Amino acid sequence: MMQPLPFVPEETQTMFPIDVAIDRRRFLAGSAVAPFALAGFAAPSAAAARPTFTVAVAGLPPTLEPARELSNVGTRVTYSIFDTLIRRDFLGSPDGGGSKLKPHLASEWKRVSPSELIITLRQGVKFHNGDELTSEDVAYTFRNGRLWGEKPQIPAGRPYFGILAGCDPIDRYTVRFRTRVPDVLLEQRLASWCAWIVNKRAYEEMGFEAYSKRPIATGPYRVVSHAQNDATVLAAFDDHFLGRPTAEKVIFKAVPELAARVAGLVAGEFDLITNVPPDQVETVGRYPDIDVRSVVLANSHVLVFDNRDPVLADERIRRALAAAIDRKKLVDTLWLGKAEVPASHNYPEYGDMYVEGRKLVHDPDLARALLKEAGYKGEKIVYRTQANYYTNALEAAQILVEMWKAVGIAADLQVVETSDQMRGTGAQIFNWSNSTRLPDPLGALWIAWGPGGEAQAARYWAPDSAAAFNRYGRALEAETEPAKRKELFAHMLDEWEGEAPGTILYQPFEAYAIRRSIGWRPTTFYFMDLGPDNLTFPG
Amino acid sequence: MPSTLLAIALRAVRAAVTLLLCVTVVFVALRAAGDPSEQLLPAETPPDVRAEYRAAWGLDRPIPIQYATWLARIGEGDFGRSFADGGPAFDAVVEALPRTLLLGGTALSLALVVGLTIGVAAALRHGTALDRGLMGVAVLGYSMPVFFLGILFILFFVLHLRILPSSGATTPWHLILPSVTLALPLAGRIARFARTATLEVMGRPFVRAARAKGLGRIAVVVRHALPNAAIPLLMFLGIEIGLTLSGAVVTETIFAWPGLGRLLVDSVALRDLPVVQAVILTVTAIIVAANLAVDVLHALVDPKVDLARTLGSGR
Repeated sequence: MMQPLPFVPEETQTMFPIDVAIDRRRFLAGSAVAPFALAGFAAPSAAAARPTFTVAVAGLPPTLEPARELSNVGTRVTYSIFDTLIRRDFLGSPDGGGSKLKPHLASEWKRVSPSELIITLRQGVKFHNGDELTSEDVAYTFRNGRLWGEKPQIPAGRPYFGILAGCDPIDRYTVRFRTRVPDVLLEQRLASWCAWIVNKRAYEEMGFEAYSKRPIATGPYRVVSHAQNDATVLAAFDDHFLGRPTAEKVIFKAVPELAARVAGLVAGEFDLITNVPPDQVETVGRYPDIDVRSVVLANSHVLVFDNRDPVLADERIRRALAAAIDRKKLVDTLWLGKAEVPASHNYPEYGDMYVEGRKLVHDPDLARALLKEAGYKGEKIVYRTQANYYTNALEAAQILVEMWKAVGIAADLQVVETSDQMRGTGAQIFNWSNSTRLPDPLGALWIAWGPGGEAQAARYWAPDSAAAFNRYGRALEAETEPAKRKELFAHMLDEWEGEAPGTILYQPFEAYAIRRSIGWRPTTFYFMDLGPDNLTFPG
Repeated sequence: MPSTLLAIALRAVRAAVTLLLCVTVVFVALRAAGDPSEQLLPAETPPDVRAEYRAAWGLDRPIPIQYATWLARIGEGDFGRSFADGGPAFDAVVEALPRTLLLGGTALSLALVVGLTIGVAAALRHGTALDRGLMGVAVLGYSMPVFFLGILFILFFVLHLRILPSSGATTPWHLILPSVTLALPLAGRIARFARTATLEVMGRPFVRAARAKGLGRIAVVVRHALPNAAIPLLMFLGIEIGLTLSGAVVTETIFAWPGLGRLLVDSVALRDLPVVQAVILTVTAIIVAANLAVDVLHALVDPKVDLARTLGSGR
């Protein structure tokens, strides 16, 4: 009988026998550790009809409470454990960034007023513990005190659901959502961040911390074990309302070293690896059975121009800085041409709100003219970046300094260790990123650059300069009529580009390397869809 | 033996002061190194939400007050709660420590066997091609950085031969590459040291006397030379335990071995200060305890050494 090994959780001890066949070479190598092997070896499981899908990730989240873990490493895992009421159909668009909504845990929804939404739940949906999903679970998920309210349990939920005034069950399968002010984005909110439904009974019985480590939800996979510096093991939840998952188990294994991830993939230990950097895409893609699949992220790398600085207080100099940047060159040289230069802070996933015909200006002559007009005398402008926080940040910074030099701007590049130092005294330009959390300007431009965002709160963008932008933004929050909303958004873009409190560089891409025979598509978020529709195995 | 007891007590006090100094420096340095909310929360998190987290973690208070609170809690056995997962910081250390001890212990044992064999063999064949060859190997072993060696092993044994797993701690197979990576530089250093120590002992009068009374070469080495060469080696090992633990930080990261080193790297990256402090405290305690144990052992194995004097009080 197999004895449990002293150094690993019992649930994960069968991984090796299932994943790796024993051959002569391995037998010879293994003879050196025969005493250990005798204690820890088990016969391969013949019963597993479905494969185990092993994903090597650079890092794992500390917990699996979805609203606590909004990072890329967190949502990558929790997306398979939890479901939302409404589903954003990312894969409905070829670029993996679709924003159409479709029923999920909710079978339908109805607007009663601009600040009221009635949700009807799908009946017969089971949680991993066998409970049926009811309106009580939904109300518990969105209760005052969890994601919103005076002192919420998870303050990070407030930017998404701080707008709620209540979530009340009407009957067993119907729920009413109320917002404090009219909110055209409520359906999108319910399909996105922090909107994953938890099981009321398990949450209450286990308590916040225990639930966070081993949550009970309705997703296609249930949690077997989770250890942040080792692995998260999920097992198929065959009662999932969308059908039987295609993998028996999904293992997210923390492998911080890129060489180990690549070697493990090529050797057959892993089926998919994440975080393949741009300079490794070609090398990894050369293996015949490995496919590199990349996606342009719903995130932009941006520069912030600190308005408090005497030189950058002049908006003409800020605009000159933005106009001097050849973004296409950055994309072609640093990102293999696979990253994207967006049409301003304006993205196609906005659907009808997307403003056609806009683009970020690259015009060195205009930059020179603006500098001359502003009376710029070659004063030093300090640009600070961290070397590794954003992929390619240092390389991009070096190129930017040269681009600015070409129009007469004396930029001084300083590489610092921390985010605080980057923003600290003496910095005039620093790196930042903006995500499109919801497919609407209010879910991107307004979150990052509006009065609640860091740029205005820290006064990097001066109040006078931001006044008109804020006026249009507040009007947009209150407006529900589509044409008027689009017009207001166009005004916001004009203000943001004209005042230039910062500028966009590009939208980076994220590359995954996967066994070629496995069917799977990435999305523009880090969410990994491993549902039966998007994860298929040969045969 | 009151003087010996006093010496041990004094050494324990000295160890406690070392620990306190170490954790104090780490405490202040971590807080000066950046805001944990920058790492733990998404980039667009509004400043008011960020401030709420900082207050919940106690980071809104002055550093001296944070330090005093932390120290008082340590006195009660409370190492604080992880900023990242909310669990007790020391639990994370307790979970990871056995894996690091397993890896470090295996590597140390391996290094001792390999290093001593090579070192003694080179000393006994002093000045020959074998001596030069073995020492060349030893120098190569300890000159090669662990991160380079580890990646080399991954490329060769995982990617090329495909006979060993690349990462994790799931089966005993997973122990091979990290322990060999960690052991090789250590074995190189032990081999060099063992060679020098053995050569020195082999030239001493008591070895000549043993030979003169007709003992065979092996008996001279095993019964007279090695026990005497072991004394400086023991002191050397005291220092090496610390180096092995620091080497484990890199090795565990390369091979995704879920031990204390990985925990430290992950916690530093996340600025999860309570966990970093708990790890540093544990590692420092291990090193201090190991050195104390070596001092005591030294006095026990070397009759010429007075324990009280060795430990610093018998002047």
